Amino acid sequence: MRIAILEDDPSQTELLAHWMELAGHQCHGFDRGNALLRALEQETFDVLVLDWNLPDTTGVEVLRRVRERLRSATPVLFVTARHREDEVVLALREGADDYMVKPVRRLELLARLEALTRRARPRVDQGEVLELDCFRVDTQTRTIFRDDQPLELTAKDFDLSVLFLRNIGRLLSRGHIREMVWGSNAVVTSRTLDTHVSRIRNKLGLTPENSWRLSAVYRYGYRLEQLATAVRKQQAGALALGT
Amino acid sequence: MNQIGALRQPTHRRQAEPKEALVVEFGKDMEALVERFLHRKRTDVVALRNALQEGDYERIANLAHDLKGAGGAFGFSELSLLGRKLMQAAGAADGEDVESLLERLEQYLVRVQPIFS
Repeated sequence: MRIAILEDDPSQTELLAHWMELAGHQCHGFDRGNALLRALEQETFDVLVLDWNLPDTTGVEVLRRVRERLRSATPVLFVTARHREDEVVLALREGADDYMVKPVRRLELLARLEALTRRARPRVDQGEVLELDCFRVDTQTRTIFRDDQPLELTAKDFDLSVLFLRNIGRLLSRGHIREMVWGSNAVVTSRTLDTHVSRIRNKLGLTPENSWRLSAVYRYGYRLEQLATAVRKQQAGALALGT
Repeated sequence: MNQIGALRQPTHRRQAEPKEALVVEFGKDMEALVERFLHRKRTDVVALRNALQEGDYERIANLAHDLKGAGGAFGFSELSLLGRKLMQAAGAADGEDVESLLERLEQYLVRVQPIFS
């Protein structure tokens, strides 16, 4: 997962990031609410971890702006020393998905993060085999089948395909895609990314005639959408009629 | 990935020699983080003393808040407790209490000896 941590105490940010990175996640720390909000105009994350007390604003205000202005449904976990019932209730009512009072315990934090993303994307995380429409993804053998036929994919093509198939309907920023497929230290040009996206669009047949659309959002990223079955049937009917 | 090291909870034990060091044990993967954390807290003591001289109790409360939170997260329960008491003393603008707690904090940071295995 790609996780943003909003926390003004560097020691706490480092500790949370350390725990999360050991569990295989990519973390980005922000020590000001406005810095995170600016980043969210260009970047996507799987989860936002928010502290309450910040030098420039509050975590609750950041949450309001995430939900209202940015219209983002990204899962939000509050990690704060604020423990009063009215504070927990306020954060949850403003749109937080979960709430933990500091000091947090490592394994509980990781389990709650996993639970948040499971709830956000319940359809696909069902063990090692993902089944979606005509696709079957075996994450253990790293093979994607289309209509039961295995596709020839490079390692990066596979990772990129799985990232999109696990995030159907979500707009993913270029930074998000780069980091989850190539890693945080890799230097990947926009052209390389575009080439890979184009290749998996062709290899997987992610086109409207197959009821899929993998589209670019200018200067931001890509989104994979599954078109309505009705649309697909309509198109099939129209094709059969030669219209 | 050092899961075993990462899972280990810090444990405390007092050693008779030398100078009543307070040993706190961590997994090996925590070494850099803990060293940086303690360095920051030692720097914070200077900032706290300056804030006390200036009568800036809001600054003291903010630094104490971080001490309380991060102390607990890292497993230094004594630091967390001192942070909580400092917040209370700052809230009451009680300079004498703050001074006394700062001395306890300084002593703790001298005595504490993290070991990593």
